[in-house]
Amino acid sequence: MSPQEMKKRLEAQFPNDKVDVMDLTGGQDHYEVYVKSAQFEGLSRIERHQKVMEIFSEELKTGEVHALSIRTEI
Amino acid sequence: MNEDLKKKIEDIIAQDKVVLFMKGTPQFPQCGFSARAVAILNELGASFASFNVFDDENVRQGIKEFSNWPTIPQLYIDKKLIGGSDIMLEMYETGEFKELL
Repeated sequence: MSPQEMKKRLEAQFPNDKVDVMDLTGGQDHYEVYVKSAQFEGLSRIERHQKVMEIFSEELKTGEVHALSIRTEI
Repeated sequence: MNEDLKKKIEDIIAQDKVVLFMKGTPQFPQCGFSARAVAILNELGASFASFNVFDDENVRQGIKEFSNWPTIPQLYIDKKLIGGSDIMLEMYETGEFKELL
């Protein structure tokens, strides 16, 4: 999955929020993403991460995305 | 997920206060994120049980469905999913982790 595609998906879920995507290895399968959104209000750390991971559940299942580090902020 | 697999996962989680589902073993982690998870637990001097998901493909896939968390490692404390290695790192840095142990 390309960084652009990943960013597009995140922006669709988190419209006009701050979203960053970093390809950690250049291999397009180890990513770190940062999302700052009011949607995380009242969610525990794990719930926030699950909310982001769900967007890529298919790619994580197939291994197209092997690793996804997540940093969130409200 | 069938009942036996669910029961097996529950038994693994129940075997200790702190249980880490990981790739490889604490002595020989076979993935960077699993290695980081082990390092954090060792740094905190936490005693923990671990399960090598490479030993059982059913558990390796089942745990992801069980916890609605698609990656390994997964850390459980008092049978509750805490998270993967990023959450462990974040909580280690904020000092929250110590309170859970």
